[in-house]
Amino acid sequence: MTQPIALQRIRRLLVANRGEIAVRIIRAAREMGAQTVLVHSSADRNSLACQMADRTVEIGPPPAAKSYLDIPAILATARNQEVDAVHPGYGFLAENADFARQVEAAGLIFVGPTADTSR
Amino acid sequence: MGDKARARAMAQAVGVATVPGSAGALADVVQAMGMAKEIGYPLMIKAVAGGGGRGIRVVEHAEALHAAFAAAQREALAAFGDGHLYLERFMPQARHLEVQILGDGQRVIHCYERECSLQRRRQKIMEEAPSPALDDAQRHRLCQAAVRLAQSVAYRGAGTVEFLFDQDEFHFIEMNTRIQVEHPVTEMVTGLDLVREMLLIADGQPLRWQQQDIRLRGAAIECRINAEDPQRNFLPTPGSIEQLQLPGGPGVRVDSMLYPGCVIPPYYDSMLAKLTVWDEDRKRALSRMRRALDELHISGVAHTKSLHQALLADTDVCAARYHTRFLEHWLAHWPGSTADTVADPLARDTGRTA
Repeated sequence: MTQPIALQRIRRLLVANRGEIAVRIIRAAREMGAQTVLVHSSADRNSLACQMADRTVEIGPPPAAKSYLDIPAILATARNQEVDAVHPGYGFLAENADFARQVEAAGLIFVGPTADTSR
Repeated sequence: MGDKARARAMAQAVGVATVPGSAGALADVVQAMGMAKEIGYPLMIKAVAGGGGRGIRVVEHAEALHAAFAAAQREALAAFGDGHLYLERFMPQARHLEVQILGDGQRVIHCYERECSLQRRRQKIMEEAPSPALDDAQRHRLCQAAVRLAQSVAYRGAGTVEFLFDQDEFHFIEMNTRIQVEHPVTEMVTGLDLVREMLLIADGQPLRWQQQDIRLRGAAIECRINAEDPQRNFLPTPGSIEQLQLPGGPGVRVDSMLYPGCVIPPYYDSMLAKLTVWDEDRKRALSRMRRALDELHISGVAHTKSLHQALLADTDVCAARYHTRFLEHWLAHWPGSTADTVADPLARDTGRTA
């Protein structure tokens, strides 16, 4: 019998991205029994990812600097929604070492290398 | 590893060749002039904090270096908040290969390579796995180099080690510490779900696989369908999707956020869908991709399906005779595009074949 593939620490995952990669991450999380919280801009209210995520939180207007790159807004959502981990996808904050460090400092799991190796 | 100059130094420390260039960030233009003499021309000025093809300038000869360095410094400061620069040899005929790795902080394995040489303005357009340019011995050397580098930093997570490959030699460029757009081609040829593995590693679980468990089977190709108009110099075409028919059948995968009526906002990148196919070998995969593209219908916004159809009908693309400058040169002769003539002064010297 194959061994079950289950997440132990990550019960709720914040997806900090949009478009096809947000959809891709939500699919993987769902198969592993984790809930997803998607942060999005007002331009993406009707996105496929918004329809698929367990919860959605609008964090700002369309420009990425005020939404998908807004570290304080994303971290506040992570705390309010009591997520265990943050997946940054690609682009946006995926290789921002400062973001990774702040996620870890908030006691959350950053789905990527530790803040030190991505610097 | 995000700091490019630091990553180069770490690669050299574990015996992984890098593109000839300055060992780290340069103090000033005087140091750059001296270093450029050693590296030779043509060369590239790159921003230490740059990435995704941004912050790069090609310099053809010594007389042009001074002005280019000053301009690059201003640009880097404005774009990345960091004006540090380094120099690298420019290899116009090289291929872009990258190795997918997975590490759990203790062990690192590789999931073979992707070939990503077909690029426009340093943005990848079509990718495949495995690389048709490598024999088994070269593949082994490349993948081992990537593993050595990741092991030296006790890498944890999914990552990609990028190389330029030219005349039987590969040179490390940079390491990306994220899941990449083109990860589906690796998933198709290995049967892995890389995002699942990423989540398991982040969850604190050890790697589930030994290196010998990762098998390369068949060939996969990915076409990025972008909301850009080839007839108008690839201008982004945000708008509403009207009709949508996605291809299916054996060995066909679509990664997309499209549905009929959905809106493509103008604020973000222009990718609409990644169409990926797998088949027993490259020749069959090419033909399956042609079939899948024929089935794909997206109306409402102009997009780049016709570019992919034309590329898949090209003799050089089908024979995998290409390099990183191939596509921009090819586009200048493609009637389906009104792309400006290639801005790169070196383009006229680069042949169509690798």
